[in-house]
Amino acid sequence: MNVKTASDAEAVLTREQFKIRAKLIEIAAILDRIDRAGGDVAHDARMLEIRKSLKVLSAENGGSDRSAQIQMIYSREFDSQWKKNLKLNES
Amino acid sequence: MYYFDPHIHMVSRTTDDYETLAKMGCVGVSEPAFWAGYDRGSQEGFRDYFHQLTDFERKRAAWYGISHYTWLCINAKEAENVKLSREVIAMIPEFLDCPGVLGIGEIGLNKNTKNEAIIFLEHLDLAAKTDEQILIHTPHLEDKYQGTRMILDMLCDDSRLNHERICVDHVEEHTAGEVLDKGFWAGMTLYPVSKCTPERAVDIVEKYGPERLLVNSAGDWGPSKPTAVPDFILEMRLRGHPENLIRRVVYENPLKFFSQSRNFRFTPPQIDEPWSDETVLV
Repeated sequence: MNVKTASDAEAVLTREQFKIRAKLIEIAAILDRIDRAGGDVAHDARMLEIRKSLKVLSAENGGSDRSAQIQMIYSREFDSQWKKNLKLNES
Repeated sequence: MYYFDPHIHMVSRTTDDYETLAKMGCVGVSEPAFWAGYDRGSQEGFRDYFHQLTDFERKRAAWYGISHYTWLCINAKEAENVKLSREVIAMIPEFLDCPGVLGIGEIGLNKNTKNEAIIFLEHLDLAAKTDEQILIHTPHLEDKYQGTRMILDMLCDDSRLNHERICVDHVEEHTAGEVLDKGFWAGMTLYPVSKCTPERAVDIVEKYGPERLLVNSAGDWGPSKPTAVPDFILEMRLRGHPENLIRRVVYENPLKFFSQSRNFRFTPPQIDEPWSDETVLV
């Protein structure tokens, strides 16, 4: 069961625009900070996660599940054979 | 608005927090047993903790008109000590008839290890044998998805368990759907950094509807906000959601879930008719 969102898209955008602006600038500033610091993290797995997440954000149609998509980028891949691999029956 | 906080670790909070919660409309809290920030060394350490949960915390809450309920277990972080875990599980039945004990919790997984799974299964067995409700902790961050799926696998493998009497807590966008689809209750924990924010919890209500959804603060000894449920209420109002929908999530849903426990007793606050100058005081 879906609960009807109480307002339309334009109203949501109007309400949230400054939050979005602030959060995007915050991310940009953190990436700038990383650039200014010494060393090279271009191939660090965490940078890959950030780039993948930004790609999700920039997609024109996110299918209304962008937050779940980003959650999965930051999740270990599910091991469906976990019982066998943990040898759970051999305790 | 009256509300329950169905997952809050009040042993970590001050008495002033109880007073603040009462002022904000909180009429009941449920407090699962959890990790103290260090591994306890003995069964007796847990016995003292269970006494605190079932006795003193009830009194402290009552000073402010708040009903206190609790859940008992040894948590996943301490489950690596299998011997101690089994001693604690063996002791839990001594407390199951205490007033306010709602069931077994918060059990679950932390790093998704074999020992955690073994002790989780032994808690499930105790709950099934004693017909207790269950409250479940799901892991943090990158381990949450794997751990939640493992927990759901283990729950669904045990045909003795009634899904409607189990709450899988700390769900987020990527785990809420599977928990609800399998007929369990789902708890959303409002934390400042990890877990869920009030805004995202409202998004989840908008996506899935209010059925079997709970919202809690999990206020504990770490960075957390015991008044996070009122933040959720405010966000719902700001988005224009009706009061009866908000009340369903923060008051009626916890009541419905808790009412399945044989130790649950609650006197709802009296909601009077609007005051009128003609009202005669006797």
